[in-house]
Amino acid sequence: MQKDILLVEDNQDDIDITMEVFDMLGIHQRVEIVRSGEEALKLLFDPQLSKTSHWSVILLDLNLPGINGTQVVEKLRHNPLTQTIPVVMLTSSNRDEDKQASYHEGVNSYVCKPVDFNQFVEIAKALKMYWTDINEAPYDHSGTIFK
Amino acid sequence: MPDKLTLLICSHFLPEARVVVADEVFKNVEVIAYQADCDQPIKTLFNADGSPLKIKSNTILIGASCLQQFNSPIDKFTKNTIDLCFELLLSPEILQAYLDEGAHLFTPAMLENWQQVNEDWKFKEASDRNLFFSDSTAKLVLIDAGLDASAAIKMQQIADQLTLPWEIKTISLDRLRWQLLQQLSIWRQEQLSEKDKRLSDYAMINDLIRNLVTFLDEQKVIEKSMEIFHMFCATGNVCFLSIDEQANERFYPAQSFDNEAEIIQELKTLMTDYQLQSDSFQILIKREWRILGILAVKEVAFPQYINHYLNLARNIAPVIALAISNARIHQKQLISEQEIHSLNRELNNQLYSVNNLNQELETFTYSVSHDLRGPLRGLDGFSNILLRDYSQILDERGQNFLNRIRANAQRMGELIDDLLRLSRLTRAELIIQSVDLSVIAIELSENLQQAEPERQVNFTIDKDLTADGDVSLIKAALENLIGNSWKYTSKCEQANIHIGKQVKEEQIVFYIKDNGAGFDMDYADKLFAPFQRLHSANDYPGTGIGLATVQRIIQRHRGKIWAEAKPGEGACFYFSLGIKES
Repeated sequence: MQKDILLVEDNQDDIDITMEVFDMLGIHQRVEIVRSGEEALKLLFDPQLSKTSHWSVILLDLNLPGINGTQVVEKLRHNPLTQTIPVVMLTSSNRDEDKQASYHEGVNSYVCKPVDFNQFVEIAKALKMYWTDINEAPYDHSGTIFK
Repeated sequence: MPDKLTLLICSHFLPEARVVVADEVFKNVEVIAYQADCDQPIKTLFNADGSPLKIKSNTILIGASCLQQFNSPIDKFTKNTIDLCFELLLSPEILQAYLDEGAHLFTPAMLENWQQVNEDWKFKEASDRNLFFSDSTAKLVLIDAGLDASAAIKMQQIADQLTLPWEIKTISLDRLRWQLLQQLSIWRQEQLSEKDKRLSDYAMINDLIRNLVTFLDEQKVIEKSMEIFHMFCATGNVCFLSIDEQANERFYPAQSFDNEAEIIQELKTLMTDYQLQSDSFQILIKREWRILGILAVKEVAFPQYINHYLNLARNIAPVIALAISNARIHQKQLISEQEIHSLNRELNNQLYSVNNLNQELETFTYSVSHDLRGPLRGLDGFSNILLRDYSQILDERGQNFLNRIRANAQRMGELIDDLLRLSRLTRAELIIQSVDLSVIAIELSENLQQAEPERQVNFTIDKDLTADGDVSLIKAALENLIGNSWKYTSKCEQANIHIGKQVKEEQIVFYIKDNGAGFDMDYADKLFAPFQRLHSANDYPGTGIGLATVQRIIQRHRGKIWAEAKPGEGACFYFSLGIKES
């Protein structure tokens, strides 16, 4: 079953570059793009949509308008519908505090976006390999298992 | 010395006086009474039982306002007469208030007398009272110390008979006790021989010395000193003018004077150590030539002893001076403690604002890390995409420009990262422990060698280069310094890097010495400033933050860093670490 990627990012440049990199790496999964944490939660917590959509990974920016990335993770981890979806924090910040807070709330990975495009390609390659090719999430995310 | 005192008192007050004198303090005192008759004073004195009163020596007549007009019988006694006998039991204010109300006062003894009179005169009607009471008599008051349980009933009978309102004023005998004690102590003082008197004086002075120096408050010291002179010289007129270092004056009168300003002015005219008049004296209270105050004693009860008083005052004065001086020093200390306290508070406030500033800096560096790197990522990313997807449209020159855009973006990213690292190093808390610089240097040199195995660099690292410091910061400093030597020897055929230590002015100084490019000492002052570079980035790449970082680290260890160099001959960086204890 083909699973989708959710990209939560408010900066259009970052969206374009990320999409370009996905293209370069031959990632042809559907990429759903939302521009704020609120939008992401609305999409993920929708009981109708959750029956039909399956996420392989959520790429989450830390600094977002409205609620920030760590708050989004916290809410995802407290909801049975989204509890087990892999989340990768994708951000410019390399502050230790941000890393600690993100892992504390339950992200699976924390990636500092480098300035160097080529480095970013390398990182994306590794992420793709792990989160979309190798990793199989432990549960079906439809939510039925918790009912 | 006669050892017995006789107090002669009116029979109306005899029961109360007997109770007071029964106390141990009055062991050598006896009380006798004369038969009183307030309204019709008699010329000769009788005992209570009517027998003629035999006069003894050492007899003091107490009260006896009724006898004042009779000279002959009472001239033989020491007189302590008062205008109103009831002052023996009541304060003048209360007594006056009763008299103003038109009260007629009784003691229980007077009631008994009255009953006798009643029987003798056979009063029948209320109107008969005019024979004994004036029209203005408005009420009867029994002054009752609780010695006669039947007094109230007697009082009521009399009041009923006279159809006058009545009340009871309950009193304690403290006032009478105090007055009799005063008589006793004056008498004892007079009985003491000159030698005994001196002994008792010295006992008193001894007591004064012992107590005075324990007071830490100047006012208390002065008040206690005045109290002593007040008792000692038997006068109520003692005053003290305190003068402090700033010539501030404070006047301590024992009683309120109308002409206070005049008295102060007069005291200040005292130029000699002391001045003596017939019944008064003034004395300077000095310590080490500094005048602390002036004490004045006036209207002493026994002017014949004035020389004696002054002499004692001159003996006591240094003690008073010492006590005042102590109190002032203590006061100063208190003030400076308060000052230290307020300085501490100010310091804490400033620390608080510094912490706030740090918080701001933290927020700032965060936005630098996030907001500045984002656009750079765009610059590099899109240039890269352009190069890849549109290379067939762009000629070589265009591609070169795009590459240079990318190089600049990446360089700016490095600068930002280095700046952030510098600010983080500056703020992180130091964890001081013993650090082996030799071990760190070996590890760093091996890393460098592994990264560029083709280079021939001869490392000499002395053993046991130990110091107290923060391991991660010292490692960062050495990484920069050794990295610099590695970098600036890149054009040498045989590079030599020596890490060692020497002792300079009793202080251990570590050094990193190389035979690389060196630099012109004219620019040595720019060496440690951020972004300052003494070589072109093309020859030796770098952001120019490294040595600024090293300097911050050394400064945080309370050490110093400096360098010696010559262009083309190499450089030597020296540093010390000031922190001694772990």
